This record gives sequence, structure tokens and C-alpha cells, in this order.
Amino acid sequence: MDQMLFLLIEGSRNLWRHKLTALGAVFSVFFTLLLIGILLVMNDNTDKLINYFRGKYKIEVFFNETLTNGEAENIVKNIRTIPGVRSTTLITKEDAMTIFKSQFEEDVMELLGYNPFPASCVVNVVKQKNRLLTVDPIIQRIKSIKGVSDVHYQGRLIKRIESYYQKFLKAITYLSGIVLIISIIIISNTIRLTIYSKKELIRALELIGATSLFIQVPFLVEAMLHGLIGAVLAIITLMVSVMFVNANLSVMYGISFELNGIVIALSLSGIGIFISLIGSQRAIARFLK
Amino acid sequence: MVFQDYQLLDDRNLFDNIALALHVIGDDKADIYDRVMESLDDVGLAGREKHFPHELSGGEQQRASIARAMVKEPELILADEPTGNVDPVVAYELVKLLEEINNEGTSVLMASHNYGLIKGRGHRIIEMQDGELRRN
Repeated sequence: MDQMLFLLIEGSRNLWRHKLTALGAVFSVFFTLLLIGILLVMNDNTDKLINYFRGKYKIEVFFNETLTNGEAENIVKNIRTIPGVRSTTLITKEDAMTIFKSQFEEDVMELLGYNPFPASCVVNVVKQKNRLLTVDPIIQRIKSIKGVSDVHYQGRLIKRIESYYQKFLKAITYLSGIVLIISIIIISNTIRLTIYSKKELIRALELIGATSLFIQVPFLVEAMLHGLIGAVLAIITLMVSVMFVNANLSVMYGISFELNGIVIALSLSGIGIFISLIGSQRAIARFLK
Repeated sequence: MVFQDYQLLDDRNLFDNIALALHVIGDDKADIYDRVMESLDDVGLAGREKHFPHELSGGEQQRASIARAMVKEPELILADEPTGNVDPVVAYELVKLLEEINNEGTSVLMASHNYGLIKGRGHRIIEMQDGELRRN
């Protein structure tokens, strides 16, 4: 028990004893974890952003002027059965007039003596996660319904956003994978180098009769601390940056990045500690007989 | 074991270097302080426990390495050319120190190329050449 405690303390003291190499290891962990963190935040938030845009996709359907509110209501019911339609809102001739009045402060009835507005309806489409949203078939179905005179939607814009989003999703998936692999290599190599520089120390420990466990534990503790400190620094930097970006973005565009602090903190610390441990374990194993 | 090149750990002071030998054998923590201080005193390094190996002379480093071997209270000390890296005066002092240890009941087996240093001191000398015994 005493010995285990000694080895744990020894590991943390080694951090101070070998502060220069520790600095190198911590920095490489910090830098790569920060990169992973940025990708995680981006991944989380593009989802949020694209869903925000998708929430705005709406199709406006105008009916023939001659249609009564009742007939319009039937058509709306019909539209609601089309797959891909999330909700519909009927705007009756009277509603349209009220909207016009509130927006332009003119009473059409007084001006023209009759209500020129057709009934219309707003169609919201289903939100689809990670899948290209296709509105064209929905538009075609609506157009083919009798009594519909015109369909308005931001077709080209929607298509553009969707296709960029798909490309982005693909790119970010590959990029995350590559960054993760590179960071594993960088971190584990840095940690290995710090241990190579301790070759003499390992030899001296062997000569005074230390068991391989006795030699390894302080190194593993030290590596874990490298990983943890690097991760904590990366998490702090990430949070401060997101706060800074939000402070500026929300003023200009009313958009803010969300940061799932606990998930990011846990995953970054986990990755940091795990990779450091593996790197140091592999390096020590080379020196121990 | 005592080595020609001392094998002290550069990253820690004398106290931690010597205490390490006790930690390795899982000694009781409460005992360690007293035993290390006593052993430093025995080799004439009392008061130097906070010094790092690089702050000591070759002779002092070898004393520290002897203290590290002695602190475990072994029955036998193996010294592999302990005087190989020091000047003749220090070499003589180290041999005297090993003799004192021997007088207190610990066997010492020391390898040396310096015949002048060990002859005529009343100890058993075994001469080896090319891995063969030449004289006992």
C-alpha cells in the first residue's frame, strides 16, 4: 500500500522533475485535442444551423380566387396527406385581408369594394437529419391538385444549402478521422520521446533492483497527467473561444454556438489520457526486459 | 551493488536516491527517513541529503552510491570497480570506507584493477586474467 502510494506520488513529482519534456508532451496533447474539440463543436453546430434553416423551409400554396374557404380547407387536408409534409396552415381570404391590413394599413374592402385575395396555405416540410431534403416531389404533387393556382418556394436556395451541407458532412467525417489518427501518432510519439530521454533512469532503476511494475507505474501516472493537463487546457481554450465568438456573433447575426461542455470535456480528457497512456506503455515496454 | 559510474538518478536529491532503494523493497514509510539519514551519516555525507548528484564530487557520489547499497542492510556488497573514476586519495578513502563496513559485519566483494590499492591490507585477494583464476 505504502509502495503504491509512493509510486503515485512519484509519478506526479516526475512531472516537476522533468518539466521541460512534460511541457513538450502537454503542448502536443493540448494542440491536437484542441483541433479535435474544434471539429466536435463544428459538427454539433452545423447540425443546429442546418435544422434552423430547414425550419424556415416553407412552401406557400395559392388557390384559385374562386375557391371558397371550405373548398380550400379540403385541399389543405389533401396536401397534409402528402409524404414529407410536416404541417399546414390555412390562410383564408379573410385572414389574407387582415394580414394585408396589418402590414400596409390599408383596407382593401374600402378601396375595391371586394376581397381580391385568394385563400392560400403555408406548408412546412418534415425535418430530416443527415439526409438530403428533397422538396421537388412535394411541389409536383401540390401543383397537380385541382384548384391550386400557384406554388412559391425558395427552391434553388434550399437545394444549394442542402448540397453544401451534404459535402460538408462528408468532409468533416473524413477530416475528424484523419485528425484523430494524426493526433494519436503525434501524442504517442511525443510521450515516447520523453521516455526515451529517460533511458538512463530506467537502467539505473533496474540496477538497484526495481521490478518492472515499480518502474512503469510512475511513468504511466506521469503520462496520464500529461494527457489530463493537455485536455484541461484544450477544454478551457475551446470554451473561452466559443464564448468570445458567441459574444461577437450574437450581436451581429443573432446566432450562437452551443457547446456541450460535459460531453466535450469528458471526451477530450478521455482521448488525452488514453493516448498518453498507450504511448508511454509502448515506449517503456521497449526498455524493460 | 556499487557501480563504477555510481548510477545515481540525476533528477532527484541524495535523500530521494537512497530512499528509492528502500521503496523498491517495499519498506515501511515510517522507517525510511531514519534509515536514510543514518546511512548518509555512516558514509560521511551527513547534511548533504538535499544535494543533487551533479553538485557532488566523484568521491562523494560514490559514497552516496555505497550509502544506497548499505541502507538495505545487505549481507554482501558487490562493488564493481568503485574506485575506477576517482583520484588516488579518494580511492584510498573509499577503500577505507568499505573496510569499515566490512568490520561491522557486511561481506564486501570488490573488483579492481588497482592492485597497489588493495595489496597488503589483510584481505583475501583473488587474481583473474582472461576469465581464469590466476591466484587466490
